Amino acid sequence: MTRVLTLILALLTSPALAQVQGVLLDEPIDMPSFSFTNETGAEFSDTDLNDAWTLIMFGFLSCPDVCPFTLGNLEAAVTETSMRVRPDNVPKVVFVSVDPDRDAEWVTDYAKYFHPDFEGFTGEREQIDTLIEATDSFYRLMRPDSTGYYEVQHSSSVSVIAPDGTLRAKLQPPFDPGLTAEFLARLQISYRKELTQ
Amino acid sequence: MKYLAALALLALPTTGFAHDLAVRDAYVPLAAPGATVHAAYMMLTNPSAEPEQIVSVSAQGYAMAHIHKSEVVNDVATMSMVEMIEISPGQTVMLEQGGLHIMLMKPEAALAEGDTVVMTLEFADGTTQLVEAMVMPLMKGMHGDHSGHGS
Repeated sequence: MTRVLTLILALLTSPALAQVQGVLLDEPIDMPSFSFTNETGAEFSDTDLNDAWTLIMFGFLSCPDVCPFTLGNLEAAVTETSMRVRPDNVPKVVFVSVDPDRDAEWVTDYAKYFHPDFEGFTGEREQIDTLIEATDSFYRLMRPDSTGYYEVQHSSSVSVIAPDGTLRAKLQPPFDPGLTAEFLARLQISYRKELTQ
Repeated sequence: MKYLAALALLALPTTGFAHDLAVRDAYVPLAAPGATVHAAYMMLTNPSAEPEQIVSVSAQGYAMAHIHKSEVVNDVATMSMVEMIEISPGQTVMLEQGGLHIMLMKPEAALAEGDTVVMTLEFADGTTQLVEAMVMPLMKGMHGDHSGHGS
């Protein structure tokens, strides 16, 4: 499942520092119905995507390096974004664990460690696969080693869902907070323009 | 003569004679609840005239430690075990976010800011060197505020 993505560069004062912080989809993609839960009993479904900007990150808790820094950078990026957009346009951040067997008991505590407003969910394999496919994402549980430990490969990019519930863009590493905020603010401006046309 | 021998012993680094990598900015980020693996980062410089080969790592307070490397290839984040870190004479190797790091597995207790994690680097010839890493908030360590020059 390949889609043509249009690269857009974040606005930069110095071309020498050019970094792609995100890619904008050519066409918005509708999200299918899905449902996740967490250890607090809360639910996250496709209806929760309406009327707010949502950033969805896939990962797993036994991830010492990439996942914590992505969430740490997202926290900084959302804080930056909150200084540039109206309060009701500040994106929600949802961490979805693709490793429910190990993570189901902790996924909320984990996400909220990075920001009290962050939410963490996981769920049935089928639900995970549905959202992974809908966002053109990827994950794979690797073969366990002799101790039973296994690695998880997963998409590094973060899905950006607009308030109409459609996937609009992907944020990409290194998630520079200022440039990511600039990308999100510009995306919101073009989204509003589209709505008024 | 005995006196001289004692002096010579004192002059030796306590962590081993053959290997004395210069270690800077060693830190372990505070980990979120539920994280059963932690990471250690540092800057390793080989001041000697011989190449150094780190073949394994162990850490006090953890069941296991591995040398690991994160990579993002075609938007997929992967991690893999690294058999050895080789550092040429004069070379500096960065263990940093998104690249080489030490993966610390199954912590015996939660980390607190200001804790120290003691690791043992083992070299190809079987000798070892101790490294102490400071525990600090995730983004603070990343931005290099742990150099000791700040507040």
